[in-house]
Amino acid sequence: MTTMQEPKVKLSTKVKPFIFDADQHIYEPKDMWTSRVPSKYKELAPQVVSVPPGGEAWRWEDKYYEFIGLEVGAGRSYTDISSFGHSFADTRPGCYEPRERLKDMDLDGVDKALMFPSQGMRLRNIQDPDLMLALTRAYNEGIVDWCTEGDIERMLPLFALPDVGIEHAIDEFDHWAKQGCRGFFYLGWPSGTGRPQEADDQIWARCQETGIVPCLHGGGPAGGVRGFALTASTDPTRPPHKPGDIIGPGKSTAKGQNLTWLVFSGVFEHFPALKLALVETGSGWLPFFYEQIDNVFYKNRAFEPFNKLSKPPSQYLKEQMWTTIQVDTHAIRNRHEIGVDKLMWSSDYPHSGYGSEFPNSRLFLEFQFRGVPDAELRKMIGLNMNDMLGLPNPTS
Amino acid sequence: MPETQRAIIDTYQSIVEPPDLWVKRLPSKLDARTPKVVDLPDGGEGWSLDGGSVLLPLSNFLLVEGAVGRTVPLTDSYKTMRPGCYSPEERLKDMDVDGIDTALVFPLVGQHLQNIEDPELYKACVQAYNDSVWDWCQSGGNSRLNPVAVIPMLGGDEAGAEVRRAAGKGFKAALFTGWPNGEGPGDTEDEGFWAACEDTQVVLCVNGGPATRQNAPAAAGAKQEARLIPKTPLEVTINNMSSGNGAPQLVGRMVLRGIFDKFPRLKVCFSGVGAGWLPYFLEQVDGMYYHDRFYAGFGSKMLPSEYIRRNTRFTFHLDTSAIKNLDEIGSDYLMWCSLYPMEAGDWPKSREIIDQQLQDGDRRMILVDNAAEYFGI
Repeated sequence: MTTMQEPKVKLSTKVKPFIFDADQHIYEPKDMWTSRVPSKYKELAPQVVSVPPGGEAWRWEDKYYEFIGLEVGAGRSYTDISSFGHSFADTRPGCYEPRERLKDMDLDGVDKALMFPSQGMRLRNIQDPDLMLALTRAYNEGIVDWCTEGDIERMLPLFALPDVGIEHAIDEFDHWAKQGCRGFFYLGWPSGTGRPQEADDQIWARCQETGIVPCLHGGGPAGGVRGFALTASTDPTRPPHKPGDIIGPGKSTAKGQNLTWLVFSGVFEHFPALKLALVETGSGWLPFFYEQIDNVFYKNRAFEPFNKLSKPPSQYLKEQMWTTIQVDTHAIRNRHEIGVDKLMWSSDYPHSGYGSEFPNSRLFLEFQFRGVPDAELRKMIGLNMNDMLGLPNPTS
Repeated sequence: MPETQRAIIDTYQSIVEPPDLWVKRLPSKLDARTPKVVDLPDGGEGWSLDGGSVLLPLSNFLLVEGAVGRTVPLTDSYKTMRPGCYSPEERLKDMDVDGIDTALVFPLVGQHLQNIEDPELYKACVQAYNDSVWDWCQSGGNSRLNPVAVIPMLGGDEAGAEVRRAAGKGFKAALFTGWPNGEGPGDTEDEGFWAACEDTQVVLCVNGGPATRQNAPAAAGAKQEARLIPKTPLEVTINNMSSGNGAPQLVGRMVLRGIFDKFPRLKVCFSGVGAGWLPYFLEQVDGMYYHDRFYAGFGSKMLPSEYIRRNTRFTFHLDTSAIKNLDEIGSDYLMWCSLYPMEAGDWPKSREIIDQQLQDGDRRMILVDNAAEYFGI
């Protein structure tokens, strides 16, 4: 059991600037799905089981094992992190209990957080559309309940947008828009194909109208092949990959492909008030990416579909996209090219990884923002998130 | 000597393989399956591999007469193609126009040979390519054209043997299109290949992510629709833009698998993928190493950035963010390339793009000295 003593010396809240963490994750409580799905899906719904080598795993569809490990790194020393072998019993309660989460946010000096899923990232792996829809709805109910039980003013739930047909995406969107959700995460294009379709415009139009922010989160495909092969093991005794393989440097430039699709298929051109969040992909690579995508545009702009754009690609992205950093000194150094109004700090709590440094987030903030003017700092660690979500800034 | 009086070494050009490149080399019994140029049903020409089981439209290669402010469509046939694409003598003239002295010449169709399923045919096509491109470059004379060899992904030993054969002919570089075992990074399967590269000091050039023989870019698209790969200019563009995304993943894998520990003199050049992403990547990959080293079983002994500094280089065409952050990257690590004859390049105005990016100081290292030293050309 990892325990942490309450620190004797509290961080002063008087001098502490407002911090809005753009990327935290629920670690789903054990009954997240089983308590919410119709009884016919009880066995197929994700549930926690003990596994032979010790520890626990989430079992999806009665056969795919997702081991408890790297998604519950919060509060562990680097030497205690493991990709499997952990269980709920030795996991920090702030991972899965909303009231405990609030305490951890206080410990770390975080005022508000956007709440992404952990296991819920796998929803897209499900091949049967009915099951996928049922589990997505259950997840969405669960995340809203969870944040409500904590403090929905401080923990902002993001719903999952299913990608198995535009009519289902619209249903889910409208339902949670009415409930007051400010954003959603998507792992595939709403229509369910490998690239954005015209039908997806119905979602982008709703986003523009409501101010709801689509969040493109790193670590999974947008579009691409469905299935558990990349993440899960069908053998409960061992993880699917060698450790050195699964952790290839995850925060990479790979989401550039999704951005390229969005820009060149005209989504930002047609929806100039659409706001997009790029999450857990890092940002230091963006100045490079902007130049490359603009070069393609300038070379091809006499031809379809490039001639439909009224601005170079980077300009849409600089105006309409917000983007996260954890530890990313290169992004901060080049912040004026990325946009001081667009960068958002994030902790990735409770996941394990470089830059997920609870309870020392503020120490890492100090290091990387050294020398940055205070007004810029305040934007990047808090005010930009309010701006993106259309929320008022704190008075003080 | 001032750089203007000296050669610029261009570290990335492509040959557009002459239509008879394979036909005139492979035995006639393979005729039906020899790579050749065919008319496509919707117009234009394409390359047919293995009797039509893979079709590569020429328009997918984004070849243009001169990309700067182009208003002409992409070339889709040898009839409309600039002769400098496929003729060595014309290539040298185009280089003279652009002020380029020496070039590394990458394969175009040759990159897609791994989509050929039959191993014997695949190997024969690879060897025929290497022999032909060597002669093509030689016929230009004066060592101005330096070919990059294709490696068969048929296991470490086969791949290593072809590296040694190519080095024996005089090749300075080879293209890495995927793990030689055909699957993934493996443990020891590819050692014969790494050893051959290290022994011969042939530079492994990487211009995209590693593919397996099953998910090679052409084959992935081919399985879906009539074995034609990307269908619209947008798809082609996105495929091209995305190919560079594989570079960070690949270098991370190579480091963490300990390949540079076992083969400390291996040379790897990330070609045409730029370097503006590198400072970001180095911070993230070193951070990951510190953070995850207790459980992850990394096979490497030093920080990832230390291997990258020691073993690898990067080439770029247009990358002002790399130049702006040169103090983080180091001018030793960069080399310039024209990308001729691709639409992303700026022929015949390469000098203008160079002048916009590079001033004094490090300019000569990036345009000449680094490439001369690293590739031995």
